[in-house]
Order: sequence, then C-alpha cells, then structure tokens
Amino acid sequence: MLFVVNLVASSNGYQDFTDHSAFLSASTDQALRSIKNAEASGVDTVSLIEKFNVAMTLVAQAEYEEYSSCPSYDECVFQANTILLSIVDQASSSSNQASARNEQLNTMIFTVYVPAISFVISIITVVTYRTWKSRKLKRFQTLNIQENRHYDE
Amino acid sequence: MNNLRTLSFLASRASEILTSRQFILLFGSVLAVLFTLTYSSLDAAPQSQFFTISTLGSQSAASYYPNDNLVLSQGDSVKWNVRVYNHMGGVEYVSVRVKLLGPSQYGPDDNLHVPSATVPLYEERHMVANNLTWTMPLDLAITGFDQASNTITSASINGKKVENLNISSNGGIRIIVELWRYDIEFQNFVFTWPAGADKIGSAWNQIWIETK
Repeated sequence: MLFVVNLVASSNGYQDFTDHSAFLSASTDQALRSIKNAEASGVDTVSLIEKFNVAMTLVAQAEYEEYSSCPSYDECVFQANTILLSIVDQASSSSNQASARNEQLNTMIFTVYVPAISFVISIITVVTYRTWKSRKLKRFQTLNIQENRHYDE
Repeated sequence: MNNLRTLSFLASRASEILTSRQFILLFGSVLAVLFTLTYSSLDAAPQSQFFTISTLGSQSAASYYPNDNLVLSQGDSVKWNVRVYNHMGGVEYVSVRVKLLGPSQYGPDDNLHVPSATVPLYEERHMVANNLTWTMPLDLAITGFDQASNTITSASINGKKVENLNISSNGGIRIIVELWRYDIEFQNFVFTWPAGADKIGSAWNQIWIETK
C-alpha cells in the first residue's frame, strides 16, 4: 500500500523546479551533504547554515534576475558557487576534527571513565556494607541480655 | 613505626577487599550496567520526525486580511508570515512554494501526500537547523484583475511580478503554501518526508480570499 502511495507521490510529488546550472546544483548538493555529515559528527553547523543561506539568496537573485547583492546572473552564480565550495571545505575539515575528537572521547569513556566509576562505586559499596555488618555484629556481641521472668501468681 | 603499621594494615585490608568474591562480582555487574547505559546513551534515541508550517498575519497573529475583510480588490495586498518548524532531527533544506488556485483547481491531497499540480508562482528556499523555526514574510498583492470575467490576471508576491495569470475567482481563490524538502538521495525537492516506519508526512496551508 505504501509502495503504491510512494509511486503516486513520485509521479506527482517530485517536481524539478530548479533551473540553475548543473554545476551549481551539484555544489548545492555537495554542500548540503557535507553540512549533514558535519552535523552528524557533532560539529556546530550554525555558521555553515548561514553561509549556505547566503549562497541560496544569490542563487535566487540569479533565478529571478533581481540583483541586489550581486551585479549579474553570472556573477551571482559564481559567488554562490564559491561560497558552496568553501562550505564543503570547512564542513569536511570540521567534520574530520570532530570525528577524531569524538573517537578519542569515546575511547576515554570506555577505557578509563566507566571502569574508574565502576571501581569507585564497588569499593564504596563493599566498604560501607562491611562496616555496617561489623558494627551490627559488634552491637550484637555487646548486647546486655537480661531475662525477665514474670510469674503469674 | 605506627604509621607503617597503619599502612600495612590498610594495604592488607584493601587487598582483602579487592580479591574478595563480593567485590569482583559487584565490580563486574556495575561495569556491565554502566557500559550498557553509556553505549545506549551514545546512540541517540530516535525522535518523531515532522515539519510544521503555519501562516500568520503580519504581526504574527491569526489576523489574515486587511480590516478583517477577505474580499480583495486590485491593488490590495496582504502581508503574512509563513513559519516553518523543523523537527526532523537534523538540518533540512526546505522550499516554500506559493500557488494560487481557482475554485475548480485541485489542492494538495493529505491522504496521498500529493501536492497541487498547479505551477508555483513563487518559491523561496532556506536551510533550517533542527528544532528551529524559519519565518518567511509573504507579501501578496493583486496587481491585475479583470472585472468582466472576475479573473486575476497578474499578482505580485514578495515584490516578484507574476504576469499572464488566468485564475477565475468565481467562488473564491485559495492561496496554497506548500512545504517541500530537499531529498539528498533523490537530489531534488520532494513534497513528503519520512515520518517513521512505513509512514510519510507532508504539510501545507491554505487561505481563502475573494476578489471584486
């Protein structure tokens, strides 16, 4: 059923509305992929998103031929493409750094932090239990036992 | 001498605790629990994925028409804010498409998740970070209206002039605002999004106006 729905959706729902040149479309796609990858690696993507939106504003100016921040179609497309390529570079280097950092952190967590915390919890628990048990035993040993006899006359 | 004796006592006590079956069992159990908890917390729990789109008046209130009158004449304009909220769990590149539909034209289908077949008159694209809302001002004016046939002939959307329209407004006109998202695999904008196992979602708004 879902497959049929998808087929109906694909015949009507997918529409090629992009008319900017193929290379710009490719760089847009590449920039988008690299931002998503960077985000998945834990990179703060705010500046990348801002740059991407600036590039898309330039693309829109070229498409609508309403030039406010660039003088002509070619110039708009060129500037947008330059920004998109810089996004790809920035995202990929940030992504690599973040991946290395994450890997290092994960190694530290699983080889140092988790065993250390487990050790401390176990030591504290065993010592507390043993202290409690020995005190209880000591108290029992020092108990003053008295026998109360009640004789009913 | 006394210190040495204390140290030796502590060392023997520590060694006795560390080699005890009690400690080894407890340490193993705590380690296993903490490993499991840490590992599962690193794998972020899947959240429900959706977008929302809402259209508000220019002051971000639900007042859509100038002087609360839905009948617009040539030269009248409406100013709205289209708000897109991204809850897809990651950054999304979206496209908001504005369409003008006469009463006989079909709008989007909520059940099949199919957009209106009408060509969009205006489109704006934006990248939206996860869990954030993007607000797009929408300024729509009717610049050409043929009173004899009650037909809109031209309009202006966010300053972009749209000429050669032929939208009959007998029975009202629907302004449709559709939300499309960029599908990396498909390398194009699509009207739907994956909303969990075997489910898809779509979002659009419509506002009715009348003309005279």
